Amino acid sequence: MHTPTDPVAVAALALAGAEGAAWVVALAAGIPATDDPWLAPVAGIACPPELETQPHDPR
Amino acid sequence: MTPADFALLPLAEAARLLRGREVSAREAVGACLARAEADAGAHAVWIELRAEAALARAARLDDGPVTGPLHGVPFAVKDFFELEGVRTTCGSSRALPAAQLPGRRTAASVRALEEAGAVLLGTLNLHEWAFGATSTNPHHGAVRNPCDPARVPGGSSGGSAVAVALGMAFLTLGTDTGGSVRLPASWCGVSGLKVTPGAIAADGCFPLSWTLDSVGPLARSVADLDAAWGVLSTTADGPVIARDPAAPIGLAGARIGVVRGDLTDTGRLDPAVARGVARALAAAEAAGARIIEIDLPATGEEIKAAQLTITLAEAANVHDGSRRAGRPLYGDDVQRLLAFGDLVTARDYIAALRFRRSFVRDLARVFDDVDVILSPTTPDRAEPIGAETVRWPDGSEEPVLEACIRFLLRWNLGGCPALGLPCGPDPLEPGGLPVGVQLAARPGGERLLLDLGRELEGLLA
Repeated sequence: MHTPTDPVAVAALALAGAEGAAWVVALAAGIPATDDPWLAPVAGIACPPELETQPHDPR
Repeated sequence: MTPADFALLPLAEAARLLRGREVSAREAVGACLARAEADAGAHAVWIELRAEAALARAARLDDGPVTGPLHGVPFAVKDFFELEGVRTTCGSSRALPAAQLPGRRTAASVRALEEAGAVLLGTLNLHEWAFGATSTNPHHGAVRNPCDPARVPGGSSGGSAVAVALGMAFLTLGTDTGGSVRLPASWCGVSGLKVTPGAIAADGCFPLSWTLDSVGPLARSVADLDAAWGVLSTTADGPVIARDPAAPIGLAGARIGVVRGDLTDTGRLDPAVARGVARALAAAEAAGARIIEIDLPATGEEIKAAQLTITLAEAANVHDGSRRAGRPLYGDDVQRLLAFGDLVTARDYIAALRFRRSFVRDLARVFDDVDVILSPTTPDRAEPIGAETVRWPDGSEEPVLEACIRFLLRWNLGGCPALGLPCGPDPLEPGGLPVGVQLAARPGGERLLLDLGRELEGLLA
Protein backbone atom coordinates (compact mmCIF):
# COMPACT_ATOMS: atom_id res chain seq x y z
CA MET A 1 0.00 0.00 0.00
CA HIS A 2 1.34 3.40 -0.94
CA THR A 3 1.52 6.26 1.55
CA PRO A 4 -1.59 8.27 0.81
CA THR A 5 -1.41 11.98 0.16
CA ASP A 6 -4.82 12.80 -1.29
CA PRO A 7 -7.46 13.89 1.23
CA VAL A 8 -9.79 10.94 0.62
CA ALA A 9 -7.07 8.38 1.28
CA VAL A 10 -5.81 10.25 4.33
CA ALA A 11 -9.34 10.33 5.73
CA ALA A 12 -9.78 6.63 4.97
CA LEU A 13 -6.58 5.80 6.78
CA ALA A 14 -7.72 7.79 9.80
CA LEU A 15 -11.07 6.00 9.85
CA ALA A 16 -9.63 2.54 9.27
CA GLY A 17 -7.03 3.00 11.99
CA ALA A 18 -3.62 1.37 12.00
CA GLU A 19 -5.07 -2.05 12.78
CA GLY A 20 -7.60 -1.83 9.94
CA ALA A 21 -5.04 -0.60 7.47
CA ALA A 22 -2.74 -3.46 8.45
CA TRP A 23 -5.62 -5.91 7.87
CA VAL A 24 -6.09 -4.61 4.33
CA VAL A 25 -2.37 -5.00 3.64
CA ALA A 26 -2.43 -8.51 5.10
CA LEU A 27 -5.40 -9.47 2.93
CA ALA A 28 -3.64 -8.27 -0.20
CA ALA A 29 -0.49 -10.13 0.78
CA GLY A 30 -2.53 -13.33 0.99
CA ILE A 31 -3.59 -13.24 -2.66
CA PRO A 32 -1.57 -15.84 -4.57
CA ALA A 33 0.47 -14.47 -7.44
CA THR A 34 -0.88 -15.24 -10.90
CA ASP A 35 1.97 -15.29 -13.39
CA ASP A 36 0.14 -16.51 -16.50
CA PRO A 37 0.10 -13.41 -18.73
CA TRP A 38 -2.96 -14.72 -20.62
CA LEU A 39 -5.05 -14.90 -17.48
CA ALA A 40 -6.81 -11.59 -17.83
CA PRO A 41 -9.07 -10.33 -15.04
CA VAL A 42 -12.05 -10.13 -17.37
CA ALA A 43 -15.00 -12.20 -18.62
CA GLY A 44 -18.10 -13.18 -16.75
CA ILE A 45 -17.25 -15.61 -14.02
CA ALA A 46 -20.54 -17.39 -14.59
CA CYS A 47 -19.24 -18.74 -17.83
CA PRO A 48 -17.23 -21.94 -17.43
CA PRO A 49 -13.70 -21.05 -18.45
CA GLU A 50 -13.39 -23.71 -21.10
CA LEU A 51 -16.29 -22.11 -22.95
CA GLU A 52 -14.86 -18.62 -22.82
CA THR A 53 -13.06 -17.35 -25.88
CA GLN A 54 -9.89 -15.33 -25.74
CA PRO A 55 -8.94 -14.52 -29.32
CA HIS A 56 -5.48 -13.43 -28.27
CA ASP A 57 -4.77 -16.65 -26.39
CA PRO A 58 -2.46 -18.80 -28.54
CA ARG A 59 -3.37 -22.04 -26.77
CA MET B 1 -57.83 -24.35 8.24
CA THR B 2 -57.15 -21.08 10.06
CA PRO B 3 -55.36 -18.19 8.35
CA ALA B 4 -52.41 -18.81 10.68
CA ASP B 5 -52.20 -22.41 9.44
CA PHE B 6 -52.46 -21.32 5.81
CA ALA B 7 -49.50 -18.98 6.17
CA LEU B 8 -47.27 -21.93 7.08
CA LEU B 9 -48.31 -24.28 4.28
CA PRO B 10 -45.73 -25.44 1.75
CA LEU B 11 -45.60 -22.92 -1.08
CA ALA B 12 -46.69 -25.42 -3.76
CA GLU B 13 -49.74 -26.41 -1.69
CA ALA B 14 -50.70 -22.79 -1.01
CA ALA B 15 -50.30 -21.98 -4.70
CA ARG B 16 -52.49 -24.95 -5.67
CA LEU B 17 -55.27 -23.77 -3.32
CA LEU B 18 -54.99 -20.24 -4.68
CA ARG B 19 -55.05 -21.29 -8.34
CA GLY B 20 -58.06 -23.51 -7.60
CA ARG B 21 -59.82 -20.55 -5.95
CA GLU B 22 -60.20 -22.60 -2.77
CA VAL B 23 -58.44 -19.75 -0.98
CA SER B 24 -58.66 -16.17 -2.22
CA ALA B 25 -55.64 -13.95 -2.73
CA ARG B 26 -57.14 -11.56 -0.13
CA GLU B 27 -57.25 -14.41 2.40
CA ALA B 28 -53.68 -15.44 1.60
CA VAL B 29 -52.35 -11.91 1.87
CA GLY B 30 -54.42 -11.33 5.00
CA ALA B 31 -52.98 -14.46 6.63
CA CYS B 32 -49.40 -13.28 6.14
CA LEU B 33 -50.18 -9.66 7.04
CA ALA B 34 -51.81 -10.84 10.27
CA ARG B 35 -48.61 -12.59 11.29
CA ALA B 36 -46.51 -9.57 10.33
CA GLU B 37 -48.76 -7.17 12.24
CA ALA B 38 -48.95 -9.46 15.28
CA ASP B 39 -45.16 -9.34 15.50
CA ALA B 40 -45.50 -5.56 15.90
CA GLY B 41 -41.88 -4.93 15.00
CA ALA B 42 -40.51 -7.23 17.70
CA HIS B 43 -38.19 -8.93 15.22
CA ALA B 44 -37.55 -5.70 13.21
CA VAL B 45 -38.30 -7.61 10.03
CA TRP B 46 -39.86 -4.93 7.88
CA ILE B 47 -38.65 -1.63 6.53
CA GLU B 48 -41.92 -0.93 4.75
CA LEU B 49 -44.95 -3.18 5.10
CA ARG B 50 -47.26 -2.16 2.26
CA ALA B 51 -50.46 -3.74 3.51
CA GLU B 52 -52.86 -1.48 1.65
CA ALA B 53 -51.14 -1.93 -1.72
CA ALA B 54 -50.89 -5.70 -1.20
CA LEU B 55 -54.59 -6.06 -0.34
CA ALA B 56 -55.57 -3.92 -3.34
CA ARG B 57 -53.50 -6.07 -5.65
CA ALA B 58 -54.96 -9.24 -4.08
CA ALA B 59 -58.46 -7.90 -4.71
CA ARG B 60 -57.63 -7.31 -8.38
CA LEU B 61 -56.31 -10.88 -8.65
CA ASP B 62 -59.48 -12.25 -7.05
CA ASP B 63 -61.62 -10.35 -9.51
CA GLY B 64 -59.67 -11.46 -12.59
CA PRO B 65 -58.47 -14.68 -14.18
CA VAL B 66 -55.74 -16.84 -12.66
CA THR B 67 -52.55 -15.08 -13.74
CA GLY B 68 -49.80 -17.65 -13.31
CA PRO B 69 -48.22 -20.38 -11.20
CA LEU B 70 -47.80 -18.09 -8.16
CA HIS B 71 -51.28 -16.53 -8.37
CA GLY B 72 -51.95 -14.78 -5.05
CA VAL B 73 -48.82 -16.08 -3.27
CA PRO B 74 -47.52 -13.42 -0.81
CA PHE B 75 -43.81 -12.59 -1.06
CA ALA B 76 -41.46 -9.85 0.14
CA VAL B 77 -38.05 -8.51 -0.86
CA LYS B 78 -34.93 -7.28 0.86
CA ASP B 79 -35.02 -3.47 0.78
CA PHE B 80 -32.23 -3.53 -1.77
CA PHE B 81 -34.30 -3.78 -4.97
CA GLU B 82 -35.65 -0.91 -6.98
CA LEU B 83 -39.45 -0.85 -6.89
CA GLU B 84 -41.54 1.55 -8.93
CA GLY B 85 -42.93 4.26 -6.66
CA VAL B 86 -41.26 2.90 -3.49
CA ARG B 87 -38.38 4.51 -1.62
CA THR B 88 -35.67 1.87 -1.39
CA THR B 89 -33.39 2.64 1.57
CA CYS B 90 -30.86 -0.21 1.14
CA GLY B 91 -31.04 -0.37 4.93
CA SER B 92 -29.51 3.04 5.30
CA SER B 93 -30.75 6.31 6.79
CA ARG B 94 -33.96 7.78 5.43
CA ALA B 95 -32.17 11.15 5.65
CA LEU B 96 -29.99 10.20 2.68
CA PRO B 97 -31.07 11.78 -0.62
CA ALA B 98 -31.14 8.40 -2.39
CA ALA B 99 -33.78 7.16 0.03
CA GLN B 100 -36.01 10.13 -0.69
CA LEU B 101 -36.53 9.30 -4.35
CA PRO B 102 -39.21 6.78 -5.31
CA GLY B 103 -37.96 4.06 -7.62
CA ARG B 104 -38.60 4.57 -11.31
CA ARG B 105 -38.95 0.91 -12.28
CA THR B 106 -39.33 -2.47 -10.64
CA ALA B 107 -36.39 -4.88 -10.53
CA ALA B 108 -36.61 -7.68 -13.12
CA SER B 109 -36.75 -10.49 -10.53
CA VAL B 110 -39.57 -8.82 -8.60
CA ARG B 111 -41.42 -8.07 -11.83
CA ALA B 112 -41.19 -11.74 -12.85
CA LEU B 113 -42.74 -12.87 -9.56
CA GLU B 114 -45.52 -10.31 -9.90
CA GLU B 115 -46.21 -11.34 -13.50
CA ALA B 116 -46.53 -14.92 -12.23
CA GLY B 117 -49.25 -13.70 -9.87
CA ALA B 118 -47.31 -13.30 -6.61
CA VAL B 119 -48.25 -10.39 -4.34
CA LEU B 120 -45.56 -8.12 -2.92
CA LEU B 121 -46.15 -7.42 0.78
CA GLY B 122 -43.31 -4.96 1.33
CA THR B 123 -39.61 -4.53 1.89
CA LEU B 124 -37.44 -6.26 4.47
CA ASN B 125 -34.74 -5.14 6.87
CA LEU B 126 -31.11 -5.98 6.16
CA HIS B 127 -27.57 -5.19 7.17
CA GLU B 128 -27.01 -1.61 6.06
CA TRP B 129 -26.08 -1.50 2.34
CA ALA B 130 -25.87 -5.34 2.52
CA PHE B 131 -22.36 -4.86 3.90
CA GLY B 132 -22.24 -7.07 6.97
CA ALA B 133 -23.25 -10.39 8.46
CA THR B 134 -25.52 -9.58 11.40
CA SER B 135 -28.46 -7.43 10.17
CA THR B 136 -28.02 -5.34 13.32
CA ASN B 137 -29.20 -2.18 11.61
CA PRO B 138 -28.61 1.21 13.28
CA HIS B 139 -31.42 2.89 11.30
CA HIS B 140 -34.19 0.30 11.16
CA GLY B 141 -33.53 -1.81 14.25
CA ALA B 142 -31.60 -5.00 14.98
CA VAL B 143 -33.29 -7.91 13.20
CA ARG B 144 -33.93 -10.68 15.74
CA ASN B 145 -33.39 -14.41 15.27
CA PRO B 146 -36.74 -16.27 15.16
CA CYS B 147 -35.39 -19.02 17.43
CA ASP B 148 -33.82 -16.71 20.03
CA PRO B 149 -34.52 -12.97 19.92
CA ALA B 150 -31.30 -12.23 21.80
CA ARG B 151 -29.37 -13.49 18.78
CA VAL B 152 -28.82 -12.16 15.28
CA PRO B 153 -30.45 -13.83 12.26
CA GLY B 154 -27.27 -13.47 10.20
CA GLY B 155 -27.05 -11.22 7.20
CA SER B 156 -27.09 -9.36 5.19
CA SER B 157 -30.53 -10.67 4.12
CA GLY B 158 -31.63 -11.09 7.75
CA GLY B 159 -35.18 -9.81 7.37
CA SER B 160 -35.67 -12.07 4.35
CA ALA B 161 -34.86 -15.17 6.40
CA VAL B 162 -36.92 -14.18 9.45
CA ALA B 163 -39.98 -13.26 7.37
CA VAL B 164 -40.29 -16.76 5.89
CA ALA B 165 -39.34 -18.46 9.17
CA LEU B 166 -42.19 -16.67 10.96
CA GLY B 167 -44.75 -17.23 8.20
CA MET B 168 -44.96 -13.57 7.20
CA ALA B 169 -44.33 -14.54 3.56
CA PHE B 170 -44.02 -17.73 1.51
CA LEU B 171 -41.00 -16.52 -0.39
CA THR B 172 -38.51 -13.68 -0.08
CA LEU B 173 -35.68 -12.35 -2.20
CA GLY B 174 -32.24 -11.53 -0.88
CA THR B 175 -28.82 -10.95 -2.35
CA ASP B 176 -25.64 -12.94 -1.81
CA THR B 177 -22.18 -11.42 -2.33
CA GLY B 178 -20.29 -13.38 0.32
CA GLY B 179 -23.02 -15.54 1.84
CA SER B 180 -25.82 -13.05 2.51
CA VAL B 181 -28.59 -15.49 1.53
CA ARG B 182 -27.12 -18.74 2.88
CA LEU B 183 -25.87 -17.38 6.22
CA PRO B 184 -29.24 -16.07 7.46
CA ALA B 185 -30.96 -19.15 6.03
CA SER B 186 -28.66 -21.33 8.11
CA TRP B 187 -29.01 -19.34 11.33
CA CYS B 188 -32.81 -19.06 11.02
CA GLY B 189 -33.51 -22.67 10.02
CA VAL B 190 -34.78 -21.98 6.48
CA SER B 191 -33.50 -22.63 2.96
CA GLY B 192 -31.73 -20.23 0.62
CA LEU B 193 -30.29 -20.48 -2.88
CA LYS B 194 -27.33 -18.44 -4.06
CA VAL B 195 -27.44 -18.75 -7.83
CA THR B 196 -24.82 -18.63 -10.54
CA PRO B 197 -24.23 -14.93 -11.25
CA GLY B 198 -26.82 -13.88 -13.80
CA ALA B 199 -29.04 -16.94 -13.33
CA ILE B 200 -31.58 -14.57 -11.78
CA ALA B 201 -31.52 -11.06 -13.23
CA ALA B 202 -29.59 -8.62 -11.05
CA ASP B 203 -31.20 -5.74 -12.96
CA GLY B 204 -32.69 -3.27 -10.48
CA CYS B 205 -30.76 -4.65 -7.54
CA PHE B 206 -28.44 -2.22 -5.77
CA PRO B 207 -24.79 -3.34 -5.98
CA LEU B 208 -22.54 -4.20 -3.07
CA SER B 209 -19.75 -5.72 -5.18
CA TRP B 210 -21.05 -6.03 -8.70
CA THR B 211 -18.72 -8.77 -9.93
CA LEU B 212 -19.67 -11.01 -6.99
CA ASP B 213 -23.32 -10.14 -6.32
CA SER B 214 -26.17 -12.51 -7.07
CA VAL B 215 -29.88 -12.46 -6.30
CA GLY B 216 -31.25 -15.37 -4.29
CA PRO B 217 -34.60 -16.63 -2.98
CA LEU B 218 -35.28 -17.79 0.59
CA ALA B 219 -38.16 -20.00 1.73
CA ARG B 220 -39.05 -22.46 4.48
CA SER B 221 -37.95 -25.48 2.43
CA VAL B 222 -36.05 -26.48 -0.68
CA ALA B 223 -39.36 -27.63 -2.14
CA ASP B 224 -40.68 -24.08 -1.69
CA LEU B 225 -37.60 -22.67 -3.43
CA ASP B 226 -38.16 -25.12 -6.26
CA ALA B 227 -41.75 -23.95 -6.63
CA ALA B 228 -40.47 -20.44 -7.39
CA TRP B 229 -37.40 -21.43 -9.39
CA GLY B 230 -39.38 -21.97 -12.57
CA VAL B 231 -40.38 -18.30 -12.49
CA LEU B 232 -37.15 -16.75 -11.24
CA SER B 233 -34.94 -18.67 -13.69
CA THR B 234 -36.73 -17.10 -16.65
CA THR B 235 -35.07 -13.78 -15.82
CA ALA B 236 -31.51 -15.01 -16.43
CA ASP B 237 -29.44 -12.13 -17.78
CA GLY B 238 -25.95 -13.50 -17.80
CA PRO B 239 -23.96 -15.95 -19.86
CA VAL B 240 -25.22 -18.84 -17.76
CA ILE B 241 -24.41 -22.15 -19.30
CA ALA B 242 -26.64 -25.09 -18.38
CA ARG B 243 -24.18 -27.66 -17.12
CA ASP B 244 -26.57 -30.07 -15.46
CA PRO B 245 -26.20 -33.67 -16.52
CA ALA B 246 -28.57 -34.75 -19.28
CA ALA B 247 -30.13 -37.41 -17.08
CA PRO B 248 -31.47 -36.38 -13.67
CA ILE B 249 -29.31 -37.44 -10.78
CA GLY B 250 -30.71 -38.50 -7.43
CA LEU B 251 -28.77 -39.09 -4.25
CA ALA B 252 -28.46 -42.74 -5.32
CA GLY B 253 -25.36 -42.64 -7.45
CA ALA B 254 -24.52 -38.99 -6.81
CA ARG B 255 -20.87 -38.17 -6.20
CA ILE B 256 -20.66 -35.87 -3.19
CA GLY B 257 -17.36 -34.13 -2.53
CA VAL B 258 -16.29 -33.13 0.97
CA VAL B 259 -13.39 -30.71 1.19
CA ARG B 260 -10.52 -32.10 3.22
CA GLY B 261 -10.39 -30.27 6.54
CA ASP B 262 -13.92 -28.85 6.48
CA LEU B 263 -15.20 -31.40 9.01
CA THR B 264 -11.96 -32.47 10.64
CA ASP B 265 -10.87 -29.05 11.92
CA THR B 266 -12.99 -29.71 15.00
CA GLY B 267 -11.10 -27.19 17.09
CA ARG B 268 -12.77 -24.45 15.07
CA LEU B 269 -16.18 -26.00 14.49
CA ASP B 270 -19.27 -25.83 16.71
CA PRO B 271 -19.81 -29.50 17.77
CA ALA B 272 -23.54 -29.19 17.04
CA VAL B 273 -22.71 -28.11 13.48
CA ALA B 274 -20.33 -31.06 13.08
CA ARG B 275 -23.03 -33.48 14.28
CA GLY B 276 -25.71 -31.95 12.02
CA VAL B 277 -23.56 -32.13 8.90
CA ALA B 278 -22.41 -35.66 9.75
CA ARG B 279 -26.09 -36.63 9.98
CA ALA B 280 -26.74 -35.14 6.54
CA LEU B 281 -23.76 -36.95 5.05
CA ALA B 282 -24.82 -40.24 6.61
CA ALA B 283 -28.34 -39.81 5.21
CA ALA B 284 -26.97 -39.12 1.73
CA GLU B 285 -24.63 -42.09 1.90
CA ALA B 286 -27.43 -44.37 3.10
CA ALA B 287 -29.46 -43.24 0.10
CA GLY B 288 -26.68 -44.41 -2.21
CA ALA B 289 -24.47 -41.36 -2.63
CA ARG B 290 -20.72 -41.83 -2.89
CA ILE B 291 -18.71 -39.56 -0.57
CA ILE B 292 -15.38 -38.45 -2.03
CA GLU B 293 -12.76 -36.43 -0.18
CA ILE B 294 -11.45 -33.60 -2.34
CA ASP B 295 -9.18 -30.56 -2.22
CA LEU B 296 -10.08 -27.11 -3.46
CA PRO B 297 -7.57 -25.36 -5.74
CA ALA B 298 -6.91 -22.70 -3.08
CA THR B 299 -6.79 -22.45 0.68
CA GLY B 300 -9.50 -20.78 2.71
CA GLU B 301 -7.14 -17.93 3.56
CA GLU B 302 -6.33 -17.35 -0.13
CA ILE B 303 -10.01 -17.37 -1.05
CA LYS B 304 -10.80 -14.94 1.77
CA ALA B 305 -7.96 -12.62 0.76
CA ALA B 306 -9.11 -12.37 -2.85
CA GLN B 307 -12.84 -12.23 -2.14
CA LEU B 308 -12.60 -9.55 0.54
CA THR B 309 -10.13 -7.47 -1.46
CA ILE B 310 -12.54 -7.43 -4.41
CA THR B 311 -15.58 -6.72 -2.23
CA LEU B 312 -13.91 -3.92 -0.28
CA ALA B 313 -12.60 -2.22 -3.41
CA GLU B 314 -15.85 -2.46 -5.38
CA ALA B 315 -18.04 -1.40 -2.44
CA ALA B 316 -15.80 1.62 -1.80
CA ASN B 317 -16.22 2.57 -5.45
CA VAL B 318 -20.00 2.15 -5.34
CA HIS B 319 -20.06 4.50 -2.34
CA ASP B 320 -17.78 7.06 -3.94
CA GLY B 321 -18.83 10.05 -6.03
CA SER B 322 -22.16 11.54 -5.02
CA ARG B 323 -22.62 8.93 -2.27
CA ARG B 324 -19.36 9.78 -0.48
CA ALA B 325 -20.90 12.85 1.12
CA GLY B 326 -23.55 10.66 2.72
CA ARG B 327 -21.08 8.27 4.33
CA PRO B 328 -21.05 10.06 7.71
CA LEU B 329 -24.71 9.03 8.03
CA TYR B 330 -23.82 5.33 7.63
CA GLY B 331 -23.34 3.06 10.63
CA ASP B 332 -19.85 2.90 12.12
CA ASP B 333 -19.16 -0.64 10.91
CA VAL B 334 -20.04 0.13 7.29
CA GLN B 335 -18.07 3.39 7.35
CA ARG B 336 -15.05 1.45 8.54
CA LEU B 337 -15.39 -1.27 5.89
CA LEU B 338 -15.68 1.39 3.18
CA ALA B 339 -12.57 3.09 4.54
CA PHE B 340 -10.78 -0.26 4.23
CA GLY B 341 -11.96 -0.38 0.62
CA ASP B 342 -10.56 3.10 -0.02
CA LEU B 343 -7.16 1.73 0.99
CA VAL B 344 -7.12 -1.18 -1.50
CA THR B 345 -4.74 -0.36 -4.32
CA ALA B 346 -5.45 -0.98 -7.99
CA ARG B 347 -2.54 -3.42 -7.98
CA ASP B 348 -4.14 -5.54 -5.29
CA TYR B 349 -7.61 -5.38 -6.84
CA ILE B 350 -6.29 -6.59 -10.18
CA ALA B 351 -4.25 -9.32 -8.51
CA ALA B 352 -7.41 -10.53 -6.77
CA LEU B 353 -9.41 -10.52 -10.03
CA ARG B 354 -6.71 -12.47 -11.85
CA PHE B 355 -6.48 -14.99 -9.02
CA ARG B 356 -10.25 -15.40 -9.16
CA ARG B 357 -9.98 -16.24 -12.85
CA SER B 358 -7.49 -19.01 -12.13
CA PHE B 359 -9.61 -20.25 -9.20
CA VAL B 360 -12.70 -20.50 -11.43
CA ARG B 361 -10.70 -22.40 -14.05
CA ASP B 362 -9.22 -24.86 -11.56
CA LEU B 363 -12.51 -25.31 -9.70
CA ALA B 364 -14.14 -26.55 -12.92
CA ARG B 365 -11.73 -29.50 -12.84
CA VAL B 366 -12.79 -30.39 -9.30
CA PHE B 367 -16.36 -30.75 -10.55
CA ASP B 368 -15.19 -33.30 -13.12
CA ASP B 369 -14.87 -35.74 -10.22
CA VAL B 370 -17.93 -34.82 -8.13
CA ASP B 371 -21.49 -33.70 -8.82
CA VAL B 372 -21.85 -31.53 -5.74
CA ILE B 373 -19.73 -30.45 -2.80
CA LEU B 374 -21.21 -30.64 0.70
CA SER B 375 -20.09 -28.63 3.72
CA PRO B 376 -21.51 -26.90 6.76
CA THR B 377 -23.12 -23.63 5.70
CA THR B 378 -21.43 -21.91 8.63
CA PRO B 379 -19.02 -23.28 11.24
CA ASP B 380 -20.97 -21.60 14.05
CA ARG B 381 -24.62 -21.02 14.90
CA ALA B 382 -26.50 -17.76 15.43
CA GLU B 383 -24.37 -15.40 17.50
CA PRO B 384 -25.66 -13.11 20.29
CA ILE B 385 -26.54 -9.57 19.23
CA GLY B 386 -23.48 -7.39 19.79
CA ALA B 387 -20.97 -10.29 19.81
CA GLU B 388 -17.81 -9.35 17.93
CA THR B 389 -15.86 -12.57 18.17
CA VAL B 390 -16.51 -16.32 18.12
CA ARG B 391 -14.72 -18.46 20.72
CA TRP B 392 -13.90 -21.89 19.25
CA PRO B 393 -13.58 -25.21 21.12
CA ASP B 394 -9.78 -24.98 20.85
CA GLY B 395 -9.86 -21.70 22.79
CA SER B 396 -9.01 -19.45 19.85
CA GLU B 397 -11.13 -16.43 18.93
CA GLU B 398 -12.11 -15.15 15.48
CA PRO B 399 -14.11 -12.06 14.42
CA VAL B 400 -17.74 -13.02 13.74
CA LEU B 401 -17.59 -11.46 10.26
CA GLU B 402 -14.67 -13.67 9.25
CA ALA B 403 -15.78 -16.84 11.05
CA CYS B 404 -19.26 -17.17 9.61
CA ILE B 405 -18.13 -16.81 5.98
CA ARG B 406 -15.52 -19.60 6.08
CA PHE B 407 -17.53 -22.03 3.89
CA LEU B 408 -19.49 -19.40 1.96
CA LEU B 409 -16.96 -17.24 0.11
CA ARG B 410 -15.57 -20.05 -2.04
CA TRP B 411 -18.77 -20.24 -4.08
CA ASN B 412 -19.03 -16.48 -4.63
CA LEU B 413 -15.42 -16.31 -5.76
CA GLY B 414 -15.90 -19.45 -7.85
CA GLY B 415 -19.14 -18.26 -9.49
CA CYS B 416 -20.95 -21.45 -8.46
CA PRO B 417 -24.53 -21.91 -7.25
CA ALA B 418 -24.92 -23.03 -3.63
CA LEU B 419 -27.95 -24.16 -1.68
CA GLY B 420 -28.31 -23.87 2.10
CA LEU B 421 -30.83 -26.04 3.92
CA PRO B 422 -31.43 -26.96 7.56
CA CYS B 423 -29.90 -30.14 9.01
CA GLY B 424 -30.70 -29.44 12.63
CA PRO B 425 -31.28 -28.43 15.36
CA ASP B 426 -29.01 -30.87 17.06
CA PRO B 427 -30.90 -33.89 18.45
CA LEU B 428 -28.63 -33.65 21.50
CA GLU B 429 -29.93 -30.13 22.15
CA PRO B 430 -33.72 -30.20 21.88
CA GLY B 431 -34.96 -26.71 21.08
CA GLY B 432 -31.45 -25.70 20.11
CA LEU B 433 -30.40 -23.29 17.41
CA PRO B 434 -30.65 -24.28 13.74
CA VAL B 435 -27.75 -25.84 11.88
CA GLY B 436 -27.33 -25.58 8.11
CA VAL B 437 -25.73 -27.73 5.45
CA GLN B 438 -24.59 -26.39 2.08
CA LEU B 439 -24.53 -28.08 -1.33
CA ALA B 440 -22.67 -26.44 -4.21
CA ALA B 441 -22.48 -27.32 -7.90
CA ARG B 442 -20.71 -26.16 -11.01
CA PRO B 443 -22.02 -22.99 -12.71
CA GLY B 444 -25.54 -23.50 -14.01
CA GLY B 445 -26.19 -26.42 -11.64
CA GLU B 446 -29.23 -24.98 -9.85
CA ARG B 447 -31.57 -27.75 -11.07
CA LEU B 448 -29.25 -30.42 -9.70
CA LEU B 449 -28.97 -28.63 -6.34
CA LEU B 450 -32.74 -28.31 -6.00
CA ASP B 451 -33.28 -32.00 -6.88
CA LEU B 452 -30.66 -33.29 -4.46
CA GLY B 453 -31.61 -30.74 -1.82
CA ARG B 454 -35.27 -31.77 -1.92
CA GLU B 455 -34.30 -35.40 -1.54
CA LEU B 456 -31.95 -34.64 1.32
CA GLU B 457 -34.45 -32.48 3.19
CA GLY B 458 -36.95 -35.32 2.90
CA LEU B 459 -34.46 -37.68 4.51
CA LEU B 460 -33.65 -35.22 7.30
CA ALA B 461 -37.27 -34.30 8.11
